[in-house]
Amino acid sequence: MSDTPTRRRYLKAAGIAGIAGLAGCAGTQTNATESGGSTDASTTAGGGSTPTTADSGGTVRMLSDRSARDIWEQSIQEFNSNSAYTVEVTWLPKGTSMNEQISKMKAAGNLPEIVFETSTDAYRETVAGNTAPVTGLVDTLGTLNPVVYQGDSYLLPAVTIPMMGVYREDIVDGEPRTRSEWKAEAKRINEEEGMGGLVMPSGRTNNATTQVNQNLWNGGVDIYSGPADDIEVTIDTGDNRQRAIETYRWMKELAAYNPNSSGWEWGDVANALIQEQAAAALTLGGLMILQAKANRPDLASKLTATPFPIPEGGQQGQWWAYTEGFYLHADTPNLDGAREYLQFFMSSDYYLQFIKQTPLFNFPTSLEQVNGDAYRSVELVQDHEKLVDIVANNWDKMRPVLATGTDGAPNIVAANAYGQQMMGQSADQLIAGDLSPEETVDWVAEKLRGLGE
Amino acid sequence: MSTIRERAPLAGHLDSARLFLLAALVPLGLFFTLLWFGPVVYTVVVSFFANPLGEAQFVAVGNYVGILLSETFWLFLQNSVVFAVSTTLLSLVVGLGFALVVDERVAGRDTLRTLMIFPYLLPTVVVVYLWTLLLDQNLGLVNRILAETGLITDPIAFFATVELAMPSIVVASVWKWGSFAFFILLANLQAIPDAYYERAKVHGASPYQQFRDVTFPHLRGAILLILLVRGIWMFNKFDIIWLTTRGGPVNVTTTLPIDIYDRTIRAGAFGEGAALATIMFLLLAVVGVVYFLVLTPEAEVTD
Repeated sequence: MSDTPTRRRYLKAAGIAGIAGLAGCAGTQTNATESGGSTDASTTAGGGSTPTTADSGGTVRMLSDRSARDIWEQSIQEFNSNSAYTVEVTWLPKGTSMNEQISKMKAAGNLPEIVFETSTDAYRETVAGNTAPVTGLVDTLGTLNPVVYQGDSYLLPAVTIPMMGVYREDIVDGEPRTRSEWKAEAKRINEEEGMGGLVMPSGRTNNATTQVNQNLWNGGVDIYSGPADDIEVTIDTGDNRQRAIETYRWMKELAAYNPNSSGWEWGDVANALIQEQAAAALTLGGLMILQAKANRPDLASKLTATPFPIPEGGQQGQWWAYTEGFYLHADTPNLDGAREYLQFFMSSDYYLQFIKQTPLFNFPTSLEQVNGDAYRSVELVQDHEKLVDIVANNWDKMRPVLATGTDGAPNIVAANAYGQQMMGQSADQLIAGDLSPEETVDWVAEKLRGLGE
Repeated sequence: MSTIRERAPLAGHLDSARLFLLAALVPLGLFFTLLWFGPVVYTVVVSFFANPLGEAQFVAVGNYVGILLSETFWLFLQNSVVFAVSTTLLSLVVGLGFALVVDERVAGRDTLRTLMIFPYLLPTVVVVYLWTLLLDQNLGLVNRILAETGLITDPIAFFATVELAMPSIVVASVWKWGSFAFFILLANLQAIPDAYYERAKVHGASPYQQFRDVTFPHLRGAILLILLVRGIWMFNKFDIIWLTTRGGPVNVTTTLPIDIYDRTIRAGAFGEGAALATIMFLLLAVVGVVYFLVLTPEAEVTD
């Protein structure tokens, strides 16, 4: 008997193998970043500089987003021509988040010395033992100190971006400040002007998650408590539960007078304002003003700043401020060179040029610099002085979501919740889904506790 | 009378043809081992660990149990199946419809055939941009037309409404990938001899009967191929969903590939992500084996 494979048998075998191939390729594609072996970073916690093997110089690699690229490149050029070290920058690919890019570089064993990131991500990396201290730099430069871990500083902050509301002063009557005032005004605008009153985004976006967080803070909700090593989720305990329910209820009521904004990022909110689908929005600093100025200059002059709404008799105790800056990867060869470049950049004119590129969006990291002539003399700042005054007058309340443990202790649960946009998802369950405010509080409490396990 | 030939020494087999075959197969074997088999095995191994990129802990099937017991897995599996089945079937229907039209000698068939290739050639990100411009709540052309014609008063959030998000992605996906079915079916249609139709007409067959008794049997193999390949591709589809809805609102468009991305990249749970990828692999492998055993597509060739 011949054992020559028949065409039918061949086709069947090839077909099954092909299926397995297709399935396998697809199955592993998403995990392709895992290949390349594991990293075994060891922390250099304990402060001080990390010894390097490149006293006579070497290459310092930096990962940065694409903002102010020309300024970074000029500063690097000047530094490189005057230092034994050579800085090389990797620009974040479009459509890729910093976390994704770092995951890929980590998997490839190609971590950069310097990463420009948020304080939240810097803290998460620090707790994981992946970062090197910048304590000396923070002390020398006198900046904010948002990421402190076991006595050392792990982020050299470069910009502060506080949350801020803006509204159309030609549409919105009066100067609404409280939740009930905003609800009444949103209803009126929706009925009389045929547009949304105050955008209430939901979903897996940074926009939605920061807003929900700020609204809960303004409602007097202590979402977390405890020291850094024992963070407890308290959103559904004691008085917090009722306050959180009232906050979510207000958000749901307000959403009824607005466009469906599930999945809206900052840009979508800007589009809504520019397309006159909404009269007010709560976003980042003067982002909406900058966007309007670029696309609808006639609207930009009609936008005025406002703090986030507060309950009657309440006050804004904590003010969400993104803090972004530089952290160092511990397991990289040229940490001294990295520190040398950061000291050069932060002390140079390039730094203020960087801040002044988007002046109402990026704020310096000290109150003195916010009130300083170099910042205040920028034309756009002068045009919207009210916004800068609000920031300056509330400077002591500004904090990253990270510092929300007891007495501002670092909070890894909040950092992870932010990373997974859990608060935005809770708003989606409330507004786009069918959960009641009570059920939403239970839902988010359970999810947050899951992150802490 | 049969004769028994002595087995020639191995070196005797290595004539130039066999050497050529060996030279061609070895790189292919290495390619599959390094770039296909290796990652698959690595993924499976990683799936048995927690924190595999850090201080790895062996958890046996813990990741698998956790996923299968989670309340979301079955919802995301259902979303994946709904998305894959609906896009595959609709692509097939649309492709077949256009292929039947182009196969007829009608005016504009060449133009239509050329136009059909364009969506398939466009990068997915461009297709998403295009459909966002069409369907966006603030900027969308569709909303503008509907509003200006008085059909709606408030813009429709196609990608952000629980009821409309999945259908909107399905429509965009069928637009992008429908031409795959079109070209395969058209090639098969054009291979059917005209004599079959002439004979059917002589016997008084109606157009429907011609389709049922002549066209469809000749397309069966191609249709099965499209169902299989397109179905697998759509089951694994990530880009168009992530770029339009990120799995929202409230997870109604979250499929298993989106969940893998969430677990692996966003939550850093590489072990869980690998376990879920392995589960997807097994699901598709089972579907594929059943497909070949039940539908016997190879019979189309041998018959």
